[in-house]
Amino acid sequence: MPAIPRLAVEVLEDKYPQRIDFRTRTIFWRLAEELYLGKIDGRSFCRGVVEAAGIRVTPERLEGKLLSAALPHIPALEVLAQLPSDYRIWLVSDYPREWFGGLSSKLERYPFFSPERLIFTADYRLEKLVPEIFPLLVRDAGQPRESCVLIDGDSARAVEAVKCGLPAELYVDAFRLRRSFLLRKMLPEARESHSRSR
Amino acid sequence: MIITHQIELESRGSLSVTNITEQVREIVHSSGVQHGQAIIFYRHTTGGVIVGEHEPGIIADIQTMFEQIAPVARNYYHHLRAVDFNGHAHVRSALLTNHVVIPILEGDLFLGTYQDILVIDDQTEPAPRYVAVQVSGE
Repeated sequence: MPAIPRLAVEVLEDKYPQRIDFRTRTIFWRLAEELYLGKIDGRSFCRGVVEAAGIRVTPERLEGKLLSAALPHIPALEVLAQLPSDYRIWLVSDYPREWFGGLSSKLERYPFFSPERLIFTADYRLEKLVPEIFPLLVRDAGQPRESCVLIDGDSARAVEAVKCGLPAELYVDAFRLRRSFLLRKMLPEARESHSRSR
Repeated sequence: MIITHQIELESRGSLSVTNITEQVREIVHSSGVQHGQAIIFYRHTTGGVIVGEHEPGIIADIQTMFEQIAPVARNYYHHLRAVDFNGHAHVRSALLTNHVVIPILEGDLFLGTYQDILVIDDQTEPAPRYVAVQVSGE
């Protein structure tokens, strides 16, 4: 799924042709952080976005547009689907629980996202998401930290995870994710020799 | 042919890393230049641009190195001016390159498998950051 502040900017610039300036985007970041932490709900996030952007739209309507625009990145899911079945995949959602119901249907083709292995960042009720969340994720995964790999599209979060000793992959695109899985010998083909240049 | 564009970054500062490879690639594609070069120039004094692998461990190592060389919590002469207090960012910036040049071959960036164009921004607070991209060639 796209990062929530970026999703908000894309929807606003697409549906309500208006350039979202940098200062307004920083307000979106702050609101999204509160959303990730469970301090506000999805509707309140949309209310804040509408107020900050000064756009004539109801928070309810914006919320609907965000949910319809939020699409999972299928190529990434296809790479995850190639992992052997003994890997347990947890989905860590910084989207709020009330939004996820509408989004989960978009993941139906990928049954490795079990409802029992779904974590909402908001449920932890943290004061600060990073780095506090990393040891909690490892605890809830029930695996040794070094056996886990966090996959995140957010560079800063992935970097902080590594600093906490949690192996992490930055999701850039499906090709690179698959290549990383091969390098980590997580895919069966990893045993095949492959040349690479650095 | 010479074409110049500007990319506005979504940077939060504090040694944040932004991967602009795809944005630069789109600029090259839209330019129509088949053979030439792209200059990517960071337009500020608190960061730089490098060609490197966008891998979290590498970024963490770079951040740790800069914190050892020029820690945030140190007295810098720059602070005597009492305008801003980002001496560490200026020192680190001096150790970075403010531009990189990428060859263009057959209309695309001629980068290696693991090479990305990464902007490192070390401003203390989030602020608009700009990178100029100049494509030249034929």
